[in-house]
Amino acid sequence: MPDPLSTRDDYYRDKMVIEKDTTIKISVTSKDFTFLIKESEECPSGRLHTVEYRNTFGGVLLSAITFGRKRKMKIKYVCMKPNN
Amino acid sequence: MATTKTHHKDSWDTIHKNGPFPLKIIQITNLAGETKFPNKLDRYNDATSEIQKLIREAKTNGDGFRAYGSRWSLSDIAHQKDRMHYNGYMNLHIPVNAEDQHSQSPYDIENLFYFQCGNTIKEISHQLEEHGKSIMTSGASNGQTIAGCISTGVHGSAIDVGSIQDFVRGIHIITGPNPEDSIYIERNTKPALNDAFAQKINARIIRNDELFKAALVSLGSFGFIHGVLIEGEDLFLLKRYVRKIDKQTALQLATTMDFANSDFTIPEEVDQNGKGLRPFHYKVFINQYSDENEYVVEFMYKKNYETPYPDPFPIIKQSLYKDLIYLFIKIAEKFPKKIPKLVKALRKTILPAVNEVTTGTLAETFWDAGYQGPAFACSFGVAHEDSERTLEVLAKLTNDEGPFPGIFAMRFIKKSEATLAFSKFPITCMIEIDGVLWKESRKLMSLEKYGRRMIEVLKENNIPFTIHWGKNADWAFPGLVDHMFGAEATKWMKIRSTLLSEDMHTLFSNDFLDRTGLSKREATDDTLIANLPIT
Repeated sequence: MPDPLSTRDDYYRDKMVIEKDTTIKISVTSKDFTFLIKESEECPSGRLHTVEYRNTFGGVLLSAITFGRKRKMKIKYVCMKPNN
Repeated sequence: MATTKTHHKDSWDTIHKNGPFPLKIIQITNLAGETKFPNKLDRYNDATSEIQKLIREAKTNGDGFRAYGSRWSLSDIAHQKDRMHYNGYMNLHIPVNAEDQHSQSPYDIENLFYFQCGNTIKEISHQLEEHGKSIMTSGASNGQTIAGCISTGVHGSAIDVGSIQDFVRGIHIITGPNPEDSIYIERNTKPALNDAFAQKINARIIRNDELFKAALVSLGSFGFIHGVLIEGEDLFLLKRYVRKIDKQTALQLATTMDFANSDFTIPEEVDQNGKGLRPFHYKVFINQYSDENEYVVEFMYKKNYETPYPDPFPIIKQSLYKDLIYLFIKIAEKFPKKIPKLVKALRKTILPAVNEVTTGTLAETFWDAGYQGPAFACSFGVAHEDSERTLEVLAKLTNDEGPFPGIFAMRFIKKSEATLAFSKFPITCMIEIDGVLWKESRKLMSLEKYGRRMIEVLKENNIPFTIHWGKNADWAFPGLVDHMFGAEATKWMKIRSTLLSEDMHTLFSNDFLDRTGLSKREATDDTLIANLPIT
């Protein structure tokens, strides 16, 4: 999804980037979690173009000391432009 | 209804940061929702009305108006200081079928596709692939919009095909705010769609070869290109080989295009007599700072589409540390003599991997390009017979008066019929130097001056040339356009002056046109834009 008003200078220049930097808390009985890409103003097609996942030492440590109950989620994604 | 958001801005820039350039307003149009307008033609015609409203507003305010798409051009050809319109969200595909075809059309209707201006090459390729079709050629990547491609003459290195504008068969242009300013243009010698189709898109039809050829590469100044009819072909595969070959052999291929009698052949790509086959694509990479006796060369051969074939996609793409690029620039500006060593150090990033063989569709082969930071590119078109001589002259200049932070490449394109196509020679060799953008320093001349010196040395050596409209050059060089195109440039200006009313002629001009002298208003002649009988 292009973003003509973007001021970024990185790989995502001119792209509508959605960034998520959060901690997900899951129950002891849950093995893992999924993240649903929803249609939104930044993602009108609801379909993915590019995903960047970043693993940090802090994230690994957090998961280890909480026995996997807290997972750091640091992602960037760009959606496809809607087809017309 | 289509809606347009207006954003007040101070400046605008190209994707490779060749500006910034001053600006008052950016306008972004979104199409009407499908619920209100389930019919694609209704959405398209609604967008025509919206664009005409924006043109009317610009005219009322005494402003200029110019559409842009992916802003990939490195020159300021896409820029307008008053109002710029982003058309990337205007990406309808309107199916055309047998009832739309002209009775004297030489084209197979299965191969004709009508796209709104903001469709990118990637989107168009995707649509065509769903029908088992492919576009005929593309640039080295796929992010440009179709309207931007044809306006500036985007090309690849398909030696017997041409550029993107060469597979366009019809153009819908909005030349002003009034109903009669919606015009659908085709050749009168090769009509594609009928008058009823033009009526469907609320346009009046003009079939006129000379007008069509002038409008093909219009530099964004014939009006707002709203829709483009293209001809595709059956889906095909490209088998790509990267080899290191002797310099003289590579240059002999460039100047002769005689692949059958060359010393170099690829064993898999020879005829029954062992003679080399003619490739679809031929490209030579030249590090002008290296004394090696070999060049890296890329060949592609056209194959029937057959599955399965190995996946050609590099799923994971890496890009250089942005800081590394900035460091490169800083070193280049302060210590230009280090540039050859820096280029050598980065050769694995700059050049394709030697002995690589991949197979893929055209769309897969010329895939997404990542943003690589501030960049420059100067690209000259010469007759392929002059390619070796031109390279020698430009490389000498680059070594003697530089070095500059970039390397050369040569690509080859068949002559275009467009009046202002830079691919004007029977086979045009585009000699280009691409690299990172630098600032003038005490030890390194500016890009503008380097561009001027390149023009000067080509003129001194009597090498006829053109320049890629979307690339960096000293566009203010006196008499440049006349030197490149002569009477063809005058014809183009006359057609433009006749097609556009006086106020629209000004509204659709920009600094680039003023600088090159192409915004001059010539005497009008209605026969130039007459709807001609089909012959």
